[in-house]
Amino acid sequence: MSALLEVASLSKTFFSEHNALPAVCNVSFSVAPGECLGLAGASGCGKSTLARLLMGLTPADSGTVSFNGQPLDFADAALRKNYYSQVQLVFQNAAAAFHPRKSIGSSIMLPMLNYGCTKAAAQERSIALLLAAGLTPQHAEKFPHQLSGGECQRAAIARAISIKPRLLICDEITSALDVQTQAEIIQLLLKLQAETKMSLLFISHDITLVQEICQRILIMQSGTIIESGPALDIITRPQQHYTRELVTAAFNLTKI
Amino acid sequence: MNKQQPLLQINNLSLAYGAKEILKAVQLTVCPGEILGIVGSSGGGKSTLLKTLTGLLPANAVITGGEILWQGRSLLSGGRLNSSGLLGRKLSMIFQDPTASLYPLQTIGSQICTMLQAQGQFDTAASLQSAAQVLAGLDFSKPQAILNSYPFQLSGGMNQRVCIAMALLLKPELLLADEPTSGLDLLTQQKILRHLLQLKTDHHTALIVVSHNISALAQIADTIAVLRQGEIIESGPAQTILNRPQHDYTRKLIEAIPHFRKEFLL
Repeated sequence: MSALLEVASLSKTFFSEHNALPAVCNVSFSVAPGECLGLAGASGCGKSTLARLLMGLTPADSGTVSFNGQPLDFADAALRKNYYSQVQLVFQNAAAAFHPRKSIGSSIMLPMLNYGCTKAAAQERSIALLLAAGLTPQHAEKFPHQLSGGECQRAAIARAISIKPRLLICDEITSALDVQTQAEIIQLLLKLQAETKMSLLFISHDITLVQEICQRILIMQSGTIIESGPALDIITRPQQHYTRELVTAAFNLTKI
Repeated sequence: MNKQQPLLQINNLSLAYGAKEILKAVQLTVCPGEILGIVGSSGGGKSTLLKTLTGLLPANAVITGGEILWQGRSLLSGGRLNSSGLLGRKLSMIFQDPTASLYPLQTIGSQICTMLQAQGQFDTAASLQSAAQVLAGLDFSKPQAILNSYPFQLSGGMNQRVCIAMALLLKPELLLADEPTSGLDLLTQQKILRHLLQLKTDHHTALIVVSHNISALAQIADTIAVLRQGEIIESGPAQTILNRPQHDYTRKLIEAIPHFRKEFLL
């Protein structure tokens, strides 16, 4: 099976006055169609920078991102637009990902309008999406500040899937939520993935959460993918000391 | 029965923000050296309860009933809380957002000195020395560098450990911790919990730890109280609450914790 997303030797270093911080170092991996791939690592390891590199929000220093076998050039507006129609990102801070002065409904309609949907059709679909995300049609009229963190994240997921992307990148989408809301959002994500068969790149520091969702897991430390494999192997037979530490911490913090 | 006198007793405490009831007849006891965990979803009144004890309530908050006793002595007079004599040396608090609870324009070392000055210790060199010792005990390999840093130069987990260090320097009898690990990654969470437990084992400090994560809480708590919409619906020894929850809401809180897939645990 050919890869949907193929990342080859992706690197990014940030520079401050005195220091160079290599945030992403020579990262390579691929995501197959319909696959749920997990990316786990502690804060500051480069997970979010990698997500931003994949979306072209931060330019990479070197390396390539290919989609459907075609290498991407984020400077090419037409290629970029086509890519965004198939790959969407959901951020950690859902409230900040919405225009504060636009209603939730109009924010959800925006990607559909961008990709040639009529206003009437976008409006109708936005209501269906709100319902699918466990919200109500009334939420369309509300503004981001009137929603709870969990409701905002549901709306963000609804917006991301509105244009039926083939890959959804989730960057710590539940880490600002309490455990009950987190469980609800994960259920929603799994339901939508089963319905649409889209691929997921699920990024989280919480390896317990990652193994609940993903068949395959990448472990990132200091900008490098230090270990990767089927979830079963990563959890039961971690090869790297760091992975063992992550799994042990997760196990201790979730044991009943 | 010869029981230890409780450090803090909250009897039937009710509180409202204006007309809105936030806490309803809350009943809690903390003994010296005990860790009490309070668990519940967002908006359940957990933070309000801690704010009540430290006098950080908003102006429209009214204590509508009940009593708060510190070592048997009432802290309430005329519906107002008078805990100012306790703050610092006896009663201290660490917050969910440690970076916001540190002063941004002062180095860590300098704000530790300010804090100790407020408690009557004016020897700066001695303050910095004891601060460095405490920081070293909290797994900071270069305590001097931390003392010279500003909060924005440290990560959230590092700032939280700095706040724990500050609490340690005051050696309070009771430390309140409001969601001390949320927003931190798992490795850091584990580290913070271990340090909180260390406060109890090394200094016999009592703690009230508030969290939405019941299994993280159960790692350190002796007793757990489940707070739902301002009411304690269940409380008891941590392992009993975790293994034999009586209330549906408690079961839901436990089920919400992500679990390792069964086939991974065989």
